[in-house]
Amino acid sequence: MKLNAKQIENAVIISIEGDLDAKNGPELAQFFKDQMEDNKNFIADFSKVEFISSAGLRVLLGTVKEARRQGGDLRLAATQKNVDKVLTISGFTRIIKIYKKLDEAIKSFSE
Amino acid sequence: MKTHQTKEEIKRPKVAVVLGSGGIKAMASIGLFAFIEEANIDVDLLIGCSGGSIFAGVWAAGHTAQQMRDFTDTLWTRKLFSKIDYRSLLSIAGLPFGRFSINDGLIKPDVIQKTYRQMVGDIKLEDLPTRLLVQTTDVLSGEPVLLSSGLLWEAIYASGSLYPLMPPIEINGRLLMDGVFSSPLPVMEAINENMDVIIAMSFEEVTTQISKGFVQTLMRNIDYSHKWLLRNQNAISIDLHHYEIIFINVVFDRVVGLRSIHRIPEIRKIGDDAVQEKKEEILAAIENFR
Repeated sequence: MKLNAKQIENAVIISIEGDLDAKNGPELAQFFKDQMEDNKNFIADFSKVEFISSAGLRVLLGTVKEARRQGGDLRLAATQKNVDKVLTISGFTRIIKIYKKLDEAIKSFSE
Repeated sequence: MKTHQTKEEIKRPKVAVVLGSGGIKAMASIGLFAFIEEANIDVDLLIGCSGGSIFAGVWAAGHTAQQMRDFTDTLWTRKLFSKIDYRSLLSIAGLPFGRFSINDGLIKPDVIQKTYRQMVGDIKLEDLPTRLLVQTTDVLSGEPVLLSSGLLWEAIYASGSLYPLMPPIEINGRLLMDGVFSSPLPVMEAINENMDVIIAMSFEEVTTQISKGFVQTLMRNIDYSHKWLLRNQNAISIDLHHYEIIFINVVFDRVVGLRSIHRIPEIRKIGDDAVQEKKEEILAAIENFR
């Protein structure tokens, strides 16, 4: 899994490349934790994520709770079809704001 | 040649299979059992709710996926849900001779109960080769009740008795009805049992097709409500669990009624395809467990 952080306007874009499961979930959790020292608004760019397991979802849930506790948020962008299916059945579409395009997610933090 | 295995090598996750409600759609789970047999996966716990409890129960009783296919071909007929209780029916319209009590339903249960008994005999839950829990709901309080002992066929009936369409059944002094009303996909119950890998199969209709008739419309609305209950419970389950939950959501693009017997091969095929997509994920979750 490859992770990259980039500050844009009011949020940090976290680009994720690869699958998200129990094996690499802790790495993503730590990455978010490190970024939270200076930021509270995050966009996870899912355009290069083909698969997410429940352990990966748990990392997102932990991050969104912490970001909101700090008055910020974690939003998802550009999710793929397979990931969308998992987000839907797991009830996450009601918990996390999800945008079809990265631009829309960036704009949402300016509204 | 037998090889010596160290403690580290034989460490494996505790695996649970959870089958949710879905009436006849739960037949789609047969493909999951075929895969479990083929991949030689050890199942520590089965939990079934409503339609899912039939197939979890039959497999827990020691039948194979192939035998389950045979059961569905021979025992699952339109007669199962055709015996109407006309007194209950008349009571809906408030007509003379109509009567409805807490023990009644629109469909008489005898053919259904006889069929379940034909499938699993008089084996008790506590005597099953694979441990099984059956999700039901208390008629009086609406509380979830998880059965772990008593006659299997009675538990299966209770779990799927969509009261007041079907009469409830009294077990251990409690009047029990369909588990769909309290926990349509009992994943949290598997977490409570300290399972590591949880394979959770649900069955869902995603269609804008207009429902035909009173019963189909009622069923559709129950389906909507259970769909959202299930998703809310899934989110909580993910938060609470320590390892992997593999959700297999079997989606049907048309309404599948209780008497859609002619669609059995199609239902099984849709299930097989849904399982095919998740095989790798299931195996990886088991293999990567430490």
